[in-house]
Amino acid sequence: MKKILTGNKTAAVAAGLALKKGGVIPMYPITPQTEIVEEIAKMKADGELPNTVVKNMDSEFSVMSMAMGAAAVGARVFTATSSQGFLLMHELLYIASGQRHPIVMVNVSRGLSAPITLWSDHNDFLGAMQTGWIMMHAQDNQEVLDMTLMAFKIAEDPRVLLPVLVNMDGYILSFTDEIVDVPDQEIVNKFLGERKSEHTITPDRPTVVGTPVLPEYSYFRTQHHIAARNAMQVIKEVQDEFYGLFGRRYNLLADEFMTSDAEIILVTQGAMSTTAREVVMEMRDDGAKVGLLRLSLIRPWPEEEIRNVLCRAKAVGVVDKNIAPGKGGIMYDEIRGALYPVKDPRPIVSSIIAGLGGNPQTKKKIRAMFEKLAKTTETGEAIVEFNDVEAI
Amino acid sequence: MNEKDLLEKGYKGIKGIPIIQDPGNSERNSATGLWRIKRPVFNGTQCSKCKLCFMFCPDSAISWSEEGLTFNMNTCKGCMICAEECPQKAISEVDER
Repeated sequence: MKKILTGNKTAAVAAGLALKKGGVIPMYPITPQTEIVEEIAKMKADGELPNTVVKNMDSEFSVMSMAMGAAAVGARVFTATSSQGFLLMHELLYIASGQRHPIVMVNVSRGLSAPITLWSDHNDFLGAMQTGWIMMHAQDNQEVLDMTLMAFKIAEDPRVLLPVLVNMDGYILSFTDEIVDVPDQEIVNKFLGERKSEHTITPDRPTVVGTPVLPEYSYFRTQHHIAARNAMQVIKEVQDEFYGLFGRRYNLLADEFMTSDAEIILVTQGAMSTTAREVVMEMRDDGAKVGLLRLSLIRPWPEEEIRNVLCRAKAVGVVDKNIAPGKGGIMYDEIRGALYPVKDPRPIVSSIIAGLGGNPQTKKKIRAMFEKLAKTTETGEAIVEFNDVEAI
Repeated sequence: MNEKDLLEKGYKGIKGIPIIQDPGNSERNSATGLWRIKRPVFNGTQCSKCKLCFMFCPDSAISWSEEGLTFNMNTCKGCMICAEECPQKAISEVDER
């Protein structure tokens, strides 16, 4: 049924659908995610989640601790956080993935302090790429719902058994109303079923979860990596099954738009991608051969699929709504690395830092990005552009 | 380090996940008594049954029964606090090596 929902409300609705039969939601508020917590609390108070434990914790660290404890005894777990809260639970992110708990968390991207801000930026969740979580990035509220539902299926698959993060841009998606098609509870039940596991603690199967090890560490960490790589195959299967049941098709490994004959391809992620797609359509009407690659899966890194999309372009611009001070955009080197095996002629890969701290990226600004990239095909030199400030 | 080595050590459970589901695993694999370089020897005739050794042992390696003391050599690390505390000097020290 189509409803008008903000990104936050969508995340709460998705959690309610997935955990209707039972589950645990430990939570803590933080702008711009507080509406998720409020909505879940309202759903619980209205009696819509009779079988779900909903608990206000005393900090995000406690939230992730409780999430791990609940997952260890076999419960389906959902939670949500943002920037500073996400960082507060940073130690536990590694533990949650190392202990192989299929927790699903929605992160509402917000720029990191200092300087303190509330608007959207991708530094928070991209700083946690090494934690061993599976990471997906939504571009609109419908995707927030669909990715959260798919996340449970991917996380609980016995070939994966890893926690999943679904990211959405703060304010741009989280507080903006969009039309969202909310599926019926019966179809969600059919898609997700109940969580079954063989490695959790039950009264007749006492288990030590997360044992101390010495030389065995490298074995377990390697298995962790293999499971994360397995997730790519599982994601393909889950998105096909999702299409069959819900009618919406996703290509999470390489969401490309008009790239097959594109000379200039822009690489974006998050809400900016929907604006960029409109710019691509307008520029195509004017005859420019442009295309868009939207990164929807950050971990595991679909290097081969990305390489296949980008290899024939003349110029590629990686838009980073994040920055690693002292180095540059975080995704810039990931894309350059993905293109390294391509034999000459290789695309000229440039970096564009845009939207730090939520600076709005208008159609005009994105069109300017394409124009700057077009110039690189003439000069043959890659550029590093700061789209919102004048670089010194 | 491969799965066969781990299975031999007793890490049963789901492949690649750091869990242990067979109880008593630590008895076989974490016998800290292996760290010992000195070992306590109990002299029954000197013992006054004060049970101070039993209370002071940091590893709970000493058990008390009617027949006297028994030392659990699986966990005794040879710290010799029992010998130090015994008022009757009924516990003596022997080199483990």
